[in-house]
Amino acid sequence: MSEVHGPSEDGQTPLPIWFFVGLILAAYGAILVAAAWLVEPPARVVAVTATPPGLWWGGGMAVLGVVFVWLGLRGRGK
Amino acid sequence: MTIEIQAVDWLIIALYFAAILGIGLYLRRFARTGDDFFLAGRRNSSWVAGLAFLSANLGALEILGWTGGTMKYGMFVSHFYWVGAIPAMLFLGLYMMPFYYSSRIHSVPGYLRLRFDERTRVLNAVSFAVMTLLMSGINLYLMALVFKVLLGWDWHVSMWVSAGAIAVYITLGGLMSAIFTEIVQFFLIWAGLFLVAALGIADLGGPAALLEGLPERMTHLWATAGSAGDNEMGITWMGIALGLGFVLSFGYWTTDFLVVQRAFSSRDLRSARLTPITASFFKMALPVVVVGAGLVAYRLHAQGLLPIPDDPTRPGQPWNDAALPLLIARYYPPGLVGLGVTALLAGFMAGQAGNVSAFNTVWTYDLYRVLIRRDASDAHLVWVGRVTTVVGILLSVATAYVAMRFNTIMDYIQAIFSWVNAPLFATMLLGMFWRGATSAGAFFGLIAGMLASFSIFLGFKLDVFGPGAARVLCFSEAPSDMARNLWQAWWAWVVCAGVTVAVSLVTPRKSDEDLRGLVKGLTPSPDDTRVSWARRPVTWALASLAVLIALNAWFW
Repeated sequence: MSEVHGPSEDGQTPLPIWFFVGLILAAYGAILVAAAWLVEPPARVVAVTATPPGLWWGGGMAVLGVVFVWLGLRGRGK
Repeated sequence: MTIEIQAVDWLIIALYFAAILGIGLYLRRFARTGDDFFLAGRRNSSWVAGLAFLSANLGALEILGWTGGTMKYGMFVSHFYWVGAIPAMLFLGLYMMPFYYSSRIHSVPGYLRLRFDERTRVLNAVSFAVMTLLMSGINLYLMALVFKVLLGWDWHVSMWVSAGAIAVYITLGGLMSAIFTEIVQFFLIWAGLFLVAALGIADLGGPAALLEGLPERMTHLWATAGSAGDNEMGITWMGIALGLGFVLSFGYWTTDFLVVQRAFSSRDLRSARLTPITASFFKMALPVVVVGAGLVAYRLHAQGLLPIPDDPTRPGQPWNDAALPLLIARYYPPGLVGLGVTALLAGFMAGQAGNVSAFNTVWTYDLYRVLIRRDASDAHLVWVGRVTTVVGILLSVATAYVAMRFNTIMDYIQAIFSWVNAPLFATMLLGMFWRGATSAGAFFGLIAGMLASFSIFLGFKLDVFGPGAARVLCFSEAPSDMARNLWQAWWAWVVCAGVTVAVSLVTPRKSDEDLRGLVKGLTPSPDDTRVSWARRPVTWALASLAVLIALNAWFW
């Protein structure tokens, strides 16, 4: 993934969108993992998997988010 | 019936608003010139432009509507993602983008000005601007309706908070803000909604068990399209191919400025051509979420495990559009509920932001600069674009309030789509691939096509057309609304093309010199041989086509 935008007229370069996507995914992933630990699911929720989905889905999002932040920061320098 | 929102869910929703407003504030300093504000500086890679191209079309209305539609039509809904989208996206990338991109225009009406004349441009700009604002208002109204009924949120707060946030970030960062938030929306939709389909399919015993429990009429794409009576949509393979696969699909994906604008923001012609081709792969994946969730909802509903409420706008009829939020309530614990609701919210808001960013460009370049102030400076146009964003949002809110009071008006507004896009595709196709198409031909063809579409719509709406007319126009005496819509688009295209050709044959055409760079045969073909085969648009288009054929064969 290359950079989102080249420099503007005064030479400034915006951070790539991947950086922002990564931040949001990482923050949401962390919140989902914490919620899976701390908040009891209400009776309406049908449990399909043995492990709460917030735990593994949130964990996956957090890892993906960190990768995107890294890609975004790396892409900015190019 | 409301879905309970807990503190952790509110935290996720609040974080989304903070993120999009923060992105808008951050991008403000990079949106100084007209190209920056209206075309995101023409610096995007094909990945960014491609995801934004897809996301501009991926509103929450579409996701909720087609999930509900799957409960009615079954796998036939996949046609709207596959044959009803992919060929048109590939055609845009391979054949039409060189004319658009090389002419350095700011909008689709801008191309009409260069190829034909000012009156054709203004006709299209006005119809597009009206359509865009009305669609934006409907989007806002339906968002407030969904959140009111399912979450218990106040109408006015939902509408004004989301409209205010969009006004702020588009005014600050222009198209760049819209594209950034559209890409955030793309990831949120996958993160927030893929899981609900996956959990539902797992709950029913896996994909094979899901399909085995469905009626035969709902599990095929083409095997039940031989006769209109064999499928729930009431349409034949010919209607799908001509109405959806050709006219509506090509009319939307190749001429609707809302999506095409994202490709214009690419940094070079190769990236612009790759934009819709990249998007096509993600488009083909969407039925996993939409159709998957819809089939799960159908099975659960049939077993009495997913009660569907009445449609708040059509009492007595099931509100299938509520299926996806109801699945969220069934499978998602706190936290994931917030993510699912945020994905829908992002879908609604990004859809509206897309409409507003396209509207401000068309208003500024194709109407304001043409009809009001021809000598406007670049800085003045950026200022007009910012003011237009706020005005556009206010008009959308006003439309939403009108729709709230008179919700039958929505049927008319949503039909505008095929009044504008279907005939325009004929104009564009003839304009780009036939030197003989004249300015008068294009103008009168466009008017005739729009009138034809409008007349057919009204004929059925007001019951002027009976079974006899339906048999002639739709090849079925009792076509569904969807089938009528597809055939209406086909006839609008035929009338526009016919009148354009007939008038062009008797009116003077532009010289070859005037058409250079705008018409096939007078425009240099893109030279792909300088890049490796792995980076050529045609390579990826062929790969996309192969996946499309495989999917259709698999679910034949």
